[in-house]
Amino acid sequence: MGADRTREKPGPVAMLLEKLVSMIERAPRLTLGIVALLLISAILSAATLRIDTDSSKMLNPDLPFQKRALALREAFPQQKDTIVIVVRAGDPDQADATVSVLGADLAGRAGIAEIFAPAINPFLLRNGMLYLDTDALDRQLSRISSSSNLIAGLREDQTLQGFLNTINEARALAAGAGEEEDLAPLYDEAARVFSAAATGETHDFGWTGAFAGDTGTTLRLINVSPELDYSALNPAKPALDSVREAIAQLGPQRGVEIGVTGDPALRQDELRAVSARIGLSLGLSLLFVAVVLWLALRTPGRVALGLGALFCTLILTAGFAGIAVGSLNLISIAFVVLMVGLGIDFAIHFLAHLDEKAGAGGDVLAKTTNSVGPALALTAASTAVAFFAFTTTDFIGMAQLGLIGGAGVLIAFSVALVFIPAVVALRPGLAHGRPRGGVPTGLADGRGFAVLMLALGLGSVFFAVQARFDADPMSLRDPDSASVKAFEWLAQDPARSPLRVSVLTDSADAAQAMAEKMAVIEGVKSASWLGSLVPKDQANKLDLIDLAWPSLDHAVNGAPENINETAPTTLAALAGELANSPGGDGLSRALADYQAVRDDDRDQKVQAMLFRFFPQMINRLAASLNVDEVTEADLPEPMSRQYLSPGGLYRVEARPVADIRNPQARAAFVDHVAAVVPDITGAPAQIEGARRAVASAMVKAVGIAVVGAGLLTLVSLMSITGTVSVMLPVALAGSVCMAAGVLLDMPFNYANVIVLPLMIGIGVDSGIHLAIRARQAGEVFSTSTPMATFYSALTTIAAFGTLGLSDHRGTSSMGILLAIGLIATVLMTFALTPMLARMGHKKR
Amino acid sequence: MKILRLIAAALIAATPLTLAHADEKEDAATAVATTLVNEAHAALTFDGPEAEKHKMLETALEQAFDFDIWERYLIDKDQQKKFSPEQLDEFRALLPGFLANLYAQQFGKGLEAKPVIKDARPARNDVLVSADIPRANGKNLPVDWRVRDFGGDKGDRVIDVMVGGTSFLRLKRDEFKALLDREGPEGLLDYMRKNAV
Repeated sequence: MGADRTREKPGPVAMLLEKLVSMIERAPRLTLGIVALLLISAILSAATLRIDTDSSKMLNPDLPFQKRALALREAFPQQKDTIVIVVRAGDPDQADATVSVLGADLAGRAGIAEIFAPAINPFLLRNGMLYLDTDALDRQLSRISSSSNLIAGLREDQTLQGFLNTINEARALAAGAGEEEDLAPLYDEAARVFSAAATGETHDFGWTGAFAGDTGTTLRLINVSPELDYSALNPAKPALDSVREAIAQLGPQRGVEIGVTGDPALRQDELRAVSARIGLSLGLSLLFVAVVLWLALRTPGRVALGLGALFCTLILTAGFAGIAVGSLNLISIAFVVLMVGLGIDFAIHFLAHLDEKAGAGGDVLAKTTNSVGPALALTAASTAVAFFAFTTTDFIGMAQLGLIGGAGVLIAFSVALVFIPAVVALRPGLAHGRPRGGVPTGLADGRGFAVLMLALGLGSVFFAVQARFDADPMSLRDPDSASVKAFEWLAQDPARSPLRVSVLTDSADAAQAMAEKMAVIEGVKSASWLGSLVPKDQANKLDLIDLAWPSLDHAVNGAPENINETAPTTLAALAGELANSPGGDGLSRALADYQAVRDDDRDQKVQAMLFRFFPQMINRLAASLNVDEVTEADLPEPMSRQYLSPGGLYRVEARPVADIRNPQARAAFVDHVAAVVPDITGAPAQIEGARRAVASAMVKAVGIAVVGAGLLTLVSLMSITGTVSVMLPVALAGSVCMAAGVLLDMPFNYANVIVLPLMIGIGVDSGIHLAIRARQAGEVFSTSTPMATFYSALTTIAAFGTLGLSDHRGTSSMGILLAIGLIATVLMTFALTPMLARMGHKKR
Repeated sequence: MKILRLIAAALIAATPLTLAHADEKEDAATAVATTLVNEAHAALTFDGPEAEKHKMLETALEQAFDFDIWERYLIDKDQQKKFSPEQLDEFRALLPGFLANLYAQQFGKGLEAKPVIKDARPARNDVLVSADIPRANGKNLPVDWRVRDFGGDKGDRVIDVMVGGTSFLRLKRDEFKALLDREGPEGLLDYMRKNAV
């Protein structure tokens, strides 16, 4: 070895392929008939293909972190199946009112098994006060206690005049006690209502905010357990439809946003994002592919033949996928990309050679097969080896793609040598093209160009080593989709973020001990288990509630007392009194402004705004009168089910201090917890486990692919230099692509990671063609091979670069990285392969 | 069937017992509140020396109020940690006089007429006894005495006084908390010294 060996006589592969093509040439109709039958079978098989967007299924279920995730899912399926409706409002009353209406409307709708909305759950309405921090409860009770007569007064007279009288009574009483500042929250909220009314706007009085001190943007959740229909593509679809229908029927609510998230909603939106703009993308792709094929093949008949071969390859490969894997995932669905890129490659090479040999006369098909057949066989074998390398990893998504891609390459090779000769045998004119297009000026090899590309490739290594894999499925999704937005609302709130780790234990004692252990780990904000749902410090809290109970009762049921014996007031008089009250000047001005524009219609509106949420507050206070000690046995089933499975397993959950949407913070959090509790699972642990498993799988697969394809190339070319001339440009192009990902802040993910195997496939494929041609013809750029290689890659870029338009971040990044990667592959191969191949040849 | 009849009979028999028990609780609470307002009224209208008058009022309160509850709520466990044992002893000693003074300030006007006990009603585990306290302007101030049955020797005791649903104990708790946060135990004791009879 070490020297090149030019084949001057047809080798056994060439002879075998020549015989095959001769047979096809003799019976083209029979051949096409068999192809047609295969296509029909493939279509039937492909029709059974399904798409599963669950990224957790893309890794080997036997991996330890996958086993733990599966165990969690089996014990607590609602973690993954629950649809979460997130109601976000400007204040608690608006949020609660919306939850109340929506919750009632959802009950009994199709596909919905159960609803759990904490804001309207009777247990939590009754005992909610016990879940407050003791100090917060103390403050809240203090406010309600001192306002109980005011609330009773408003309850008795829910009119504008009643409001003014009651405020005036409260003001006089507070003035007597020197405690007017205590009424400031009430004055401020009333000022907002009257100011809005004066300008024709709407602002409903936030009673909870004014009395309970619970103000600002409020999130409320409705957890919907769907009845799952596993015969459907999305088992939770009926429930999701019902939820969206109920929200649509509710209509827009002033100051309220409603989002739907949870795994079923996220996956449905993801499928929608993947398919959105697919029409535009497909239309542009077909147009671009047709233009590129026209430039490459130059006659309509040959373009149609090339496309025919491509469609045959796609259909047969899809048929194979239907039999081999049944269900495609986010990665293996990209076999279409691979097959366009590689399928058209074989067709273009064969057609280009056919044209080249057509002028020489004789049996054109036999000559073409003899000339290009071995190279095609070698590229098919080496590319298939590269793809099959991925089947050896734990990364099932990529393994599936490797299997389908490897088989697809062999199918594309077969189609090029069966379908095209059969059609050409029937229509010999298709062998002839017009003067073929060349590759663009500048791509033809030259020392300067080679040095430039080599420098670019080597320089890119600095950035390439910083490439990372982002295993967070949220990174793939459209950030503007409703479910992702609602997820972000939750993730932004540390108390509600779903990004937590869990561990399973088999007893309450073990769960408690585990929670105590996890709570003190660095980076852990708190750890919860079933016992955490039982309110803490109940004796003290119940004491405080007991103290305030008569006040609460007076607010809800008592007759108001005119303690200060203030006379009924007018709006103008109250404005005057408030002008000199501490904290009352804002309301005084608002009342004066309102007085200036006041009429009956406005009075009706302001009265409605003042009291819209008042009955709701009274109902909530009334429910809390029955508060009592809570034990584990009292917890509603939807609450306890979060931590105790029907099979008796206890879940313990740890919440992070940091915002672990940041990948570094997530890795640190998982590492800290796993160092103490190795058996953790949950989204952050799974993402980290997947990231590491995928990174390891990719290194292993790329290694096997490069070594496998390299060895095959070496055996076939019997030349180390020739092999280097094929493999080095692929490696450098890979480095450039990874560097581009780093510079564009576009990490590899479950969707775009297919760029690497595709680059290996196309890179090795193109490299072999150019290397063989360089040795056979010397000046490779005067042959049809560079043109075929160039247009083959251009076809793939044209076909799938348009995916960059997708709303789905994974798909979009795939389109962009694919274009960059393939451009880098073509440039590196053209710059380096012919030169290196010739160097080896000359050496010999 | 026989068992069912027995259960039914037991239920029917138990119902009046329960009602009777509730009535007894309310009667006992009413009696405590009545004694308090009468004795307090007698003290406030006493024409003798001021010291004796104060002593009578303090004694009336001591007999009716449960100062342990008042102490527990007015300075909770965390706040009590700020006190030395001597300071706590002084707090306990000052409390009856402080409450007597509070009583006199709030209800010691319009003393020509005697307070009238109106009714009693259950309030969770306690009983609220309503009274009308005459005011200087001739009108009445509606007051609720919250009475708890401690059983044993202690029996029924007033644990809170409420006006228009507002708890005095709650108000004073907030006031004491603010004072303690601002000035510490000595500040609070000084305030109590100045405001005790």
